Amino acid sequence: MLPAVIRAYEQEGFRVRIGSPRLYTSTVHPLGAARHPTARTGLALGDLGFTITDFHLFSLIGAELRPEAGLIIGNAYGVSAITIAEALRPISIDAIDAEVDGPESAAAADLTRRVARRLDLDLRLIRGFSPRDLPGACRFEKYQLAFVDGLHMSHQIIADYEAIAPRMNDRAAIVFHDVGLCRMDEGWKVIRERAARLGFAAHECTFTDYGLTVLLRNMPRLDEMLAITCGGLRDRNETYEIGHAFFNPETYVERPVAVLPEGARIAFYGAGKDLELFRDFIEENPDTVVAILDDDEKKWGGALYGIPIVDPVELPALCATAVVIASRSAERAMRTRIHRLAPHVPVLPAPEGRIAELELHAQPQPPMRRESQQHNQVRRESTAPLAGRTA
Amino acid sequence: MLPSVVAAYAAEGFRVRLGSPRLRTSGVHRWGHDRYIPNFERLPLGDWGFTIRDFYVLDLLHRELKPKNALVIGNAYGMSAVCLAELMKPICVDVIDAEVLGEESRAASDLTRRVARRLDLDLHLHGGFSPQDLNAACRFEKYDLVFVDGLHTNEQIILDYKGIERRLADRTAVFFLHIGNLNMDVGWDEIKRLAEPIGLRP
Repeated sequence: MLPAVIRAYEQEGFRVRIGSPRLYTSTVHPLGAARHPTARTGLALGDLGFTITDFHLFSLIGAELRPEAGLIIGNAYGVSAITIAEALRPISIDAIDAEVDGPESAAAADLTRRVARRLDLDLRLIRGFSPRDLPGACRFEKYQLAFVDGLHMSHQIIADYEAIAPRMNDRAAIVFHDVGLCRMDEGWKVIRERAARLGFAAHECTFTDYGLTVLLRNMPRLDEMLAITCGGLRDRNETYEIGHAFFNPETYVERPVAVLPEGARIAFYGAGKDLELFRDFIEENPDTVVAILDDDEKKWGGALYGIPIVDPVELPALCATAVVIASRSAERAMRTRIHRLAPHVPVLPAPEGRIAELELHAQPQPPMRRESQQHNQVRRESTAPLAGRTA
Repeated sequence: MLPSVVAAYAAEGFRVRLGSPRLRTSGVHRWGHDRYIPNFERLPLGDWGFTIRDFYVLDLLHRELKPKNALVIGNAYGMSAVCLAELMKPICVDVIDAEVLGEESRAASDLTRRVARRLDLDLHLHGGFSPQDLNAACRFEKYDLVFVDGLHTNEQIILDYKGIERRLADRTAVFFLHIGNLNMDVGWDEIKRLAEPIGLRP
């Protein structure tokens, strides 16, 4: 976005592309390996990056806020972090990235650090998960600016928000990337309600390519501008898409939103060691967890964390509003059994390693392609009862 | 594009829209006259305006060039001229617009002048045609920045370029709007051919 940033990446052997009306994706990839993402090749880590419209939003924030400290969740190849740090100098940026894409993630993080050094930016990037590892990532007590661009799921942005909100200054901006594109409407809805209680004004930046949203506190000029110029993300049937050359987001469906409504009755399936992952949740929500199902009849009649272990055939009688699968090895069999016993009860899949988040949220899976109309129907049914207030 | 510009138009009773992925056109509308532009309907003067990406290019030019003056050909509701002037303050901006849409054009020019006054911009808007009336529109011999957004035809942008060529400073940038959108490739090719010998890099 900025000549200095593009040059620095170039010197490291990478080309920054800044998208076009036909292909919005801005990308970073090694020189000589330029590629357009297609439905066949899919997106790489360096694709789907920070765009000119994102840059514009941060420029406006920077002009009014003059932030001294910024916190970024999610880094990939670092174009957003680097561009923000360069554009808003002399800002200090703390960034955290889970590096879940293996060696490519680690290499991308190293590239970010090298580019930051070239540009003499105060940017510190650590490896870790938000919110669990956020304390270790933060050098400051308070931040004026935060950018949430990690795992693009509703439950995750809620967890990110909850972790960063107490760290925000009285005068602050929090930007959420890709809310429109990745259909994180449910998460955003929860966040904007909670943020209003902390004095944040919420805006949906319809002028951005991927549907960014922003929370502003004590920033009257930008607040007024966004109120005048922006509608809602879906007001005009906006379709945030990754250019015409790539897939249609219609083919993507978000997994159940992991916020628990009032009156939720949760059953866990699996009384094995994976249930330990949910221990805090169970102990903190004894009235919400109604039973633990297990196929081992020797466990029936016993209890774990104060919750009775029962035969899965009792599921229909439990009036559970959702079942959380507490086993990573037997998920498929358990899911099949639940559908057979109580097809109307939504199922939350097994955790995938981000244990700390389960204290507040059961763990949904990443977005996946629709497999069939039948699958869609099941998914829609399973999503609806779960949307609501976090327990 | 800039909060102060949006607020100034709002104070004059007009709403600035910034476009969206579905509706790229940014525009200026009177409050309460918000509208969607169906396909094939003629675009009113306030539509199809200056976008964030256009602003981005100006922002980059400003960071490197720091122009002291600019010449703008084509004005409509003045978003581009006003944004340019506000972004690059204390720049002096001369604008020429043919006001070919009669009353609506004149009202749009007046709106531009009022917004410029609100923002305390040094913006001088002259009613006239490019290139023949450029002398009357220009307060300066040379310009650091020229923004061409008048009649969008191949012939006209060549005439515009020829009209401004001798007015270009040694260190300068010339920005042509809508070349791709309105298929002015032939005109652009000719401009590139004309510009290269005087050291302009397309």
